[in-house]
Amino acid sequence: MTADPMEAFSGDLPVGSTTPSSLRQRLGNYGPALALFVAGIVFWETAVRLFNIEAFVLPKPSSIAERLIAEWPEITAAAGNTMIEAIGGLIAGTISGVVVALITVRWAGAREGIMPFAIATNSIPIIALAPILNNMFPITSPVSKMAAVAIVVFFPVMINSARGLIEVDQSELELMRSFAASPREVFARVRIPHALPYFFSALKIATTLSIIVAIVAEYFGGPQDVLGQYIISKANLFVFPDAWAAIVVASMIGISLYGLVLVAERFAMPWHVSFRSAEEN
Amino acid sequence: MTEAPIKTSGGSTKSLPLRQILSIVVVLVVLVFVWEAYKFVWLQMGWIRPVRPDNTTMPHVWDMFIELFRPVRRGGDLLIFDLAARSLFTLREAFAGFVIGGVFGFGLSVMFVRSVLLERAFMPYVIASQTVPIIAIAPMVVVWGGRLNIPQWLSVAVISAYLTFFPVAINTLRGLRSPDPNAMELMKSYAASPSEVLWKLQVPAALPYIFTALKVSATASVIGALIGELPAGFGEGLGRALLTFSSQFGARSVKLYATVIVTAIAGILFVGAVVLAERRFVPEGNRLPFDAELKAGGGI
Amino acid sequence: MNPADNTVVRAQNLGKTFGSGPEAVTALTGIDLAIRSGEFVSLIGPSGCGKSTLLRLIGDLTRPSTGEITINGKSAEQGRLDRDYGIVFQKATLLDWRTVTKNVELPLEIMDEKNRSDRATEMLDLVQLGDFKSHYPWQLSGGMQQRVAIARALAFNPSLLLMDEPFGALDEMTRELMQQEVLRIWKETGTTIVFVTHSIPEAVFLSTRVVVMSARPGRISQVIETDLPHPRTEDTRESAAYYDRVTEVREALRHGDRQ
Repeated sequence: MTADPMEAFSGDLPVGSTTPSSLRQRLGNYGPALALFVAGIVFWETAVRLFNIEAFVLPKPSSIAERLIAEWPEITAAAGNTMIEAIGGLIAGTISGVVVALITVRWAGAREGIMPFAIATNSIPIIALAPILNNMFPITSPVSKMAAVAIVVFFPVMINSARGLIEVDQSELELMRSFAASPREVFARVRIPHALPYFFSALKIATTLSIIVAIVAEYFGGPQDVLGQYIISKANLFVFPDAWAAIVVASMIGISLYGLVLVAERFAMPWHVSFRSAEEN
Repeated sequence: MTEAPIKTSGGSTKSLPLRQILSIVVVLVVLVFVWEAYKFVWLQMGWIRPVRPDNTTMPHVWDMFIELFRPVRRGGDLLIFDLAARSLFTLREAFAGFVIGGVFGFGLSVMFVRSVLLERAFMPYVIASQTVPIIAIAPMVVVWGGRLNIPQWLSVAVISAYLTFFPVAINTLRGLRSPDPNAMELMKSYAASPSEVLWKLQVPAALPYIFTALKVSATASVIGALIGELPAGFGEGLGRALLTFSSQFGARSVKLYATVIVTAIAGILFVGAVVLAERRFVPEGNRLPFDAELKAGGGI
Repeated sequence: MNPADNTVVRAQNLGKTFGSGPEAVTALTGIDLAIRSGEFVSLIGPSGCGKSTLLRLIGDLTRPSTGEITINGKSAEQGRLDRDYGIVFQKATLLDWRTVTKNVELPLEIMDEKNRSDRATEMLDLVQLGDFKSHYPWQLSGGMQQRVAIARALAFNPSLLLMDEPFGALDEMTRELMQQEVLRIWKETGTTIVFVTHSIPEAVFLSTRVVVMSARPGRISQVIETDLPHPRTEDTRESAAYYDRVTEVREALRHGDRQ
């Protein structure tokens, strides 16, 4: 059993699938979701037109699309800056999470101390640190947002990687011992491959969080040419279709990053159970 | 397979909670020490990077706690009373969001376990929903709430529910699918109706999963309430205090630090309440390890 | 201690206690056993008799509390460091992320051997899995997985093969096939085999000697020579001599239990 909340879904995604699936199968997998998407957009558009809902309550999808095209240069510029914050923080948080996980595996004492603390920290709303970080670093610098993202990303990556590295099957360790394998060998050939699925499921959570956290951190002030500030200013001016266009872009970035992790995951562990097709299982 | 000579050291679940609390305290003491040591050394050396060590940017840890017992403003309540009232307000929103999101998430998972077609249709959007920055839709939710004459705190609860439902939906679905196939066949042999199978087999089997999700959701609902309060434009909760004290950072930064500490405590209390409920309803052997939460996803 | 006397495993007054104080459990006590090169020795007994512990002591996967154990005249630890034995568990314990060939190559990689893929091919042919080299473990049946585990254990040509209830999880038909396989491999390679089982027919069919153990505390209660002629086939299972040995082991187990 792997540690992946989204496995039920991601398992069905044939990204670079190793098994040939017929068009019909693909349609069966994606058809319902696709149909729902089209139906949802049509329903939304008609409902807004039919009931004359004002744009500040809910804009039409068509006007959101219109504004997205019109505002494209500004929104993409803002999105670029937000992505720098999110990805910078994601990288910093992931690297430090993995490093600390390696430390907890190497030294049992560190594990005893750090793991309960990390789990407890997971139950506090870390986002409350965003205003402090905003004030700690220069106001124009993306570092404060990166730091907020990094802290949020750190905990799931650290805890999950540590679990994967530690919770190795006892008989696999005995087998390696029977080969008189060095600790380094055990690490490289058993612990790290075993930790990969845990690491990737944390990374999937972390990527979607990174964009959201960056936007929340932006809310507490800083440069104006970022998605968070763009959305706030448009909402304050009651130009809701523009705000919605930016929301769509933010969401798209999150989904794309998530997709990238899925591809990387498949590339890194093609053997994994979540990529097996049903008939072979 | 008779004897397993080498005991595994993994699985922190069985170790004593007292010991875990002790190690948390030790780590906290170390962190305070590092904070104060950084401040001291950087002041001595005249360094200002990466963070200025002055009393505004990095106040002494004890000053953060002392601040709690000063008036919020001249002649006002003590900060700690003000923040306690705000915590209650935010926790009420969070609890309402927790309930709304929990019920909604549970409903979704039951729907998905009944129909693969509905799961295929909706699941991608359930996941995609969590990539939408809620802080951005929060003002609109408040506007919608205003239209429907819903009190503002309840609109915030709905925003909070948006974060809460996800872990519940994903984990409950996993839990509902967890019973042994033989147990499902046994129920079938009794000609049990789908709802009997649900309530007599699937839901009890899912309880450990549900509680794992609820622990994540408890944190998520506090986060959702904080975020929802920011653009909601009213001043009774912790989220607004964070925003206000953040803008007054230069004058009295300790207020912001004190507020963050209280916010953390509020979050821990909520999760603690869920842990107590879990102890009441799930027998020890069936509880999933505490760190199984990460499987559940979510939690900023 | 003379290595030339072709004793592969020698245990003297071997004992193992788990835990300490009032909760201490004596898993094994007073074990004396010598296994000669080329033997096929089964360890049989009720659960809790310490047969797996004895196997783990031979493999230096756990350390004795009392007594001494040597492998090829060396300490058990030195034996392990010299890769004197290969081991097969009840669970195949194949690494999910490696193909069948790569699993067989694993010990060779650790030992920095050359010609790994040639050797893996040879071993997979030996266990008759030549056609499944690039499969992943989950694509194989339980019996096939166990064959890969055997190929892996033999890949570096150890003088001793330790098997811990290797067929315990297999169905009866597969089990009997695998028994034939192991006998064939034993004949072809000349490896000494120590085999833990709780199946009387399996122990009798496979072994040259059956070591009968009893529980609480774990000890050897009797050693039975099974001098059935080789090659052993399906006909062996129906012979009178086979029945006699099965009965003998069964009575030894019952007798040991009553002690």
